[in-house]
Amino acid sequence: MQLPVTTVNTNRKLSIQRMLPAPGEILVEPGQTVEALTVVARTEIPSRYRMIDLARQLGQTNIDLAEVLRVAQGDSVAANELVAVAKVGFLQRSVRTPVAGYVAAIGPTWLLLETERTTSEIQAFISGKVARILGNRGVVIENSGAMIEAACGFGGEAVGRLKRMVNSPFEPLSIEAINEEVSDSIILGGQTVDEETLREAEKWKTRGIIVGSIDAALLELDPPTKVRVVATEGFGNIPMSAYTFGILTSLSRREVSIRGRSPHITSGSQPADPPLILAAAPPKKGSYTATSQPDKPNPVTEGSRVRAIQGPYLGHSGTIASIPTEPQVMETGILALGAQVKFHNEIVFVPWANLKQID
Amino acid sequence: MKSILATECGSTTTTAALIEQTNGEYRLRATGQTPSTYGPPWYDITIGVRQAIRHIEKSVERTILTSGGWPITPQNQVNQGVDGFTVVCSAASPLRLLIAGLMKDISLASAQQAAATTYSHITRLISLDASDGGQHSHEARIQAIKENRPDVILLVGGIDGGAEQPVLEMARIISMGLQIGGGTPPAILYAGNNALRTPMADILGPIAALTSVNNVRPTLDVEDISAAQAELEKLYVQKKLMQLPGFDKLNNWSTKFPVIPASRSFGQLINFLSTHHDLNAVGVNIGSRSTTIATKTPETSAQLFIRSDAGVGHSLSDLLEVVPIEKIHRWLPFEIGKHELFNRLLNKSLYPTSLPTSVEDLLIEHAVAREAIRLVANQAQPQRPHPQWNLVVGTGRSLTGNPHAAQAALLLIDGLEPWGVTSLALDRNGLVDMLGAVAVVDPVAAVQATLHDAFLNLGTVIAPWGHGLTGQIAVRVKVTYDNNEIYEAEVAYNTLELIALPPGQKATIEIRPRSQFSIVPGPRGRAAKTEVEGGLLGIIVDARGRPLEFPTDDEQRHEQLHTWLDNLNLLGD
Repeated sequence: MQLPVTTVNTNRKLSIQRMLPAPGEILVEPGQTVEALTVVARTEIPSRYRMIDLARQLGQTNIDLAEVLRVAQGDSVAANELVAVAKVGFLQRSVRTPVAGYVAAIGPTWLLLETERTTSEIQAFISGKVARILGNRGVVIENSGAMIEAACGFGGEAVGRLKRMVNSPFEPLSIEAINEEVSDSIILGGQTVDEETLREAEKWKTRGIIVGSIDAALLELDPPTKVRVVATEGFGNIPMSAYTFGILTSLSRREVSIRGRSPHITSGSQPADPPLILAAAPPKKGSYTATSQPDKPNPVTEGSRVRAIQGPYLGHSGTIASIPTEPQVMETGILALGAQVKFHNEIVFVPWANLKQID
Repeated sequence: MKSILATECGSTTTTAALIEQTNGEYRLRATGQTPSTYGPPWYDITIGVRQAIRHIEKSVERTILTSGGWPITPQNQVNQGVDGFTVVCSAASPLRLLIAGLMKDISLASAQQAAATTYSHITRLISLDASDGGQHSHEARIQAIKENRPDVILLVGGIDGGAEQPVLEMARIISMGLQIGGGTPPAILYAGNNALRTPMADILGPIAALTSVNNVRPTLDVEDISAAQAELEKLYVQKKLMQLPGFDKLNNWSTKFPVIPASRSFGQLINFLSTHHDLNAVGVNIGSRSTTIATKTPETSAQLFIRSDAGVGHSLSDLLEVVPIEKIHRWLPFEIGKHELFNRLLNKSLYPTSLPTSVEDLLIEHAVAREAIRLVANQAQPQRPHPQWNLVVGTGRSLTGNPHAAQAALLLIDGLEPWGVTSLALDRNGLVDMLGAVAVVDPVAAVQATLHDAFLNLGTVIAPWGHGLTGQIAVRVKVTYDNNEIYEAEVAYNTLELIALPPGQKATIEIRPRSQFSIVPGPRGRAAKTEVEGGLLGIIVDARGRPLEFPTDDEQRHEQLHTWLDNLNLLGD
């Protein structure tokens, strides 16, 4: 039986695509070593427009653009600059720009001015080597290191030193644990974090928090927090998997990169990058060597490590003890094929639909 | 044809069904089902199809696939392969659609109706009459078009021979937005004033793939969405279905009959049922990505209503944005905070293919399924009281995956609120979505499989419209069986009662509603008499009233829900 896979591994090839929202300038070269916060590309995105109705201003419904236009698409224009002139009878009518900007587009009777631009920069996100340049849109950064695929989160990306501030995956991150120690760091919390603790962490300029679960209400905080949050198991009050907590504990004091997103909760939008925790290998002298990984996951067997994604063991990691050949009846009365899974000291039946294989 | 292999690739499950001619009749021979494999770790939709077919091969002990893994067609002399192979698909994400038009209640309403007939998600509505709730300057609209990045822009507006300048203005706004947007422009479908096709081509043709079809509103009083509907479906196939990993291989297997959206096949089946039996038929398909309702009566044309924000798995988070959590919460007969419920539902949306493991989780999924049906039903039957349906057909794992037939029956009844006398049927073999496509290959095979093998007859619902007082008798029912035995029931308001009438049997029922209730259109209190066929649940007398109402007090509501479940013997161990 082949199951969907979730990666919770300390030794994986990390290959991260970093893409600009629009064509721009790539600031690095192939083979270059970068840090996580290195700006690798930059672009300017138009953020405000102004429409100029040439037909109305020239007093003509049909306009021969070739005759009247004095600018072309892409031209930079100053405020009050002449953009179009037409003779209407004995009179000459002209059109001037109300503000400075760029000529973004020209229509049959209109001209669109771009009046404001915002600079957008992307950072490498992980330390490593620039493996590929993707035209004028982005780069691929590669390294080896730890990768933990998370369930959900919010706030976006952050990079910082990982600091464990709880003693177990069942312990919620408390406000008492927040002090100057957590400034500029990524906190390894335990089970969950509440708004009060989050706001306190924000005051101390914490960059991010990793917990087992988050309350959905935190997605709609007003005002929003600057702290990025990643939940490894899901929504509600679910402890972090002991396996994941153990791996993250081993990464304490290392630089980690987190991405707090809940891409499935965006109505009909294009798929976004999933929530993630990465810890790239520390820089060594010489080249980075990326670990290769299997192309396809192997089918699960007895002993395979799996994670429950539904039910009372949601978030828990276990191993397959045996695989019944016949479907089993669950408490709901539904018959399903699955496996007997050992979680801690208990063996329970979990349908295949409620398991993911851990890579 | 001697044999047809029909397959359906859904967003969670792939099903294959073998229909063969036996003793001069087409019958369902075997089915196979596996999880769909277009996503990780497989990224190839044909893997699931192959696995489902292999289950069938094992079951019927004959070879259907080549050694390379594709169907042998036609069936050969050593009984290998099949004569026909059809595929329907609903696995792809919906078409992202931006609709632009002149007036919300006229052209835009018709455009939305056209969009509702295929798997689409309306990302933005822009109307020149400023009723779209957005910012109304040209610059704001241009910015919105630039940022929205739809797959398709549907532009409507102006009756034929009517408004021109406003429609052209909207086209120019779209042109500007796409020029500054960069990237691959969306396809544009123009379905407005026919007189403007040439100027549209001049404005929009240079920057995007433009198709013009008949006006969705040729006059103020006439709506004609068929051409727009057909083109949107074509675009869904091109832009979404064909992008599924492995789709090109699947399409190659099905050379004679191209892969079609499951919704079209489903609509065709409901159309057939209504026409063949001369009755008002409605089909409900609850899927992970969308919920579909198909309707047909002898007096009206077939209609399809698809909401891609009303799926119970992959698009559950979209459903939660349009259905207040209170509406889902009201169906739960146990204590749970709305907050906790919302968290649980978001977890389900993270893992849409997961199964409920506890009774509570199952009841939560049932509550979601009810509200998904109700969301679409509001569009399909907006009138109050809504039309009476003679036949309701249900499909989708939320219905067919339940251990008790009464659970599926209750979901259909609570979702659609049928009133009068209605037969309920369930898609017992996962065939319903596929049969419309089979009809293209061999209409006789489709008809015979439909009549013999597609449905599990759940029984007949008798439900009066109106409200009364709890405890009062709402309706009296007299059942005269074939053997002349008589059973009489007095059913109290706000309860349900099951009356035995096994499959294969018939009975005559006389229904006398209390004076404040209606069982037939017209004056209240009028009695009715009709013949009904037996089913798994027999006759379900639903005296809870229509529309359904809930007590505001939680404890009373729990008690009421428990009573309803108990009435249908659903309060098990």
